[in-house]
Amino acid sequence: MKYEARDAEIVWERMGDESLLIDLRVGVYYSFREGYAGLLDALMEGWDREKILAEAAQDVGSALDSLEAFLLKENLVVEAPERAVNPHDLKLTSTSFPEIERFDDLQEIFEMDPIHDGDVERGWPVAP
Amino acid sequence: MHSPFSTSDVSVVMPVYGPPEGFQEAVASVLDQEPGELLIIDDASPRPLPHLKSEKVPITIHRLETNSGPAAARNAGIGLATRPWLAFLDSDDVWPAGSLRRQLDRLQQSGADLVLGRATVVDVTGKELPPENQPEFLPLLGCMVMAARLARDFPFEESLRYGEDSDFYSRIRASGATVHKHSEVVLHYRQREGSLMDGRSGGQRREDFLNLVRTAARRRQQGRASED
Repeated sequence: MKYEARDAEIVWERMGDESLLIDLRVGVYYSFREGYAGLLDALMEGWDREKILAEAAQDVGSALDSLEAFLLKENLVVEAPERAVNPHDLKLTSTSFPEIERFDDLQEIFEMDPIHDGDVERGWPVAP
Repeated sequence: MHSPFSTSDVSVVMPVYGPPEGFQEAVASVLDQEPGELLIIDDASPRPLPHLKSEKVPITIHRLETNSGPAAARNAGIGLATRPWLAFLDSDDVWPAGSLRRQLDRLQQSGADLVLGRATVVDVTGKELPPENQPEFLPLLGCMVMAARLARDFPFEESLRYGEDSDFYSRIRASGATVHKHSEVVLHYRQREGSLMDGRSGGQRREDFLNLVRTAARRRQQGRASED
């Protein structure tokens, strides 16, 4: 199975050895490190689950199960069977899978200052 | 019954660059409230600041050698502050009369480390915008009075051009410091061209929030690296 971000409000970013998924619908973000960062990157680049399992140097089946379940439970991705794969090499080097972390420390600010378009005529941006 | 917190227990930090229109009005609105000191951090302004004088409030003007941005200027002010409480005011905003006294009363009543009130947005002429254009609750620095130790423990992230105030506030919140929020207007925030809030589109604000997330993530990475 292939996946893609649910919509444009889910932002995937790589930062060093960490991958982030930022949910701009509610202002929370998730940190994926080491093995999970590699697996998340593979999924977000459009790699098929079976292809990942076939090409990984080690058994990542249970970690991939956990990751997929997490992403679907948090409503971060949707299935995208027709998606084309990004032609990057698959890089799965870590055998460590530290717990996926969810952060809401910026949510208060997000809720106080939600992202919404400003309006030149009305001046201050108002919530939709 | 404890004696009320005194306005003289508050250091006020005001970064300035320009100086902008409205600067003297901003300064006067602080001096009228008789804080313990006013620390004006001149971020290498291209024009000289006007002469400032007060019989009751010590004024310190500290000029940075190079233009370093508001976060660095505020950090310089934090370093100079001598009072147990600290407040910030941008150099073209205004504190309504009596607002510092009311903020301190709320600090004392709540026992909080930081008090956060509301802002009313005014246009460049000082006229209040209509209610439908007023902001939702924002962590504007000018709406806060805080324990000075918080500002020293969580200095502004100087690499952030936008959102450094939100980043500052979020780290204080995450530290477990107690915050008392209330709905009284304690700041007249001047909407001006080029400010963070004026005319920043949804796309820009989206990028601002992403930058906050990146900064928080980078800080955690550094924390993990120092533990290793």
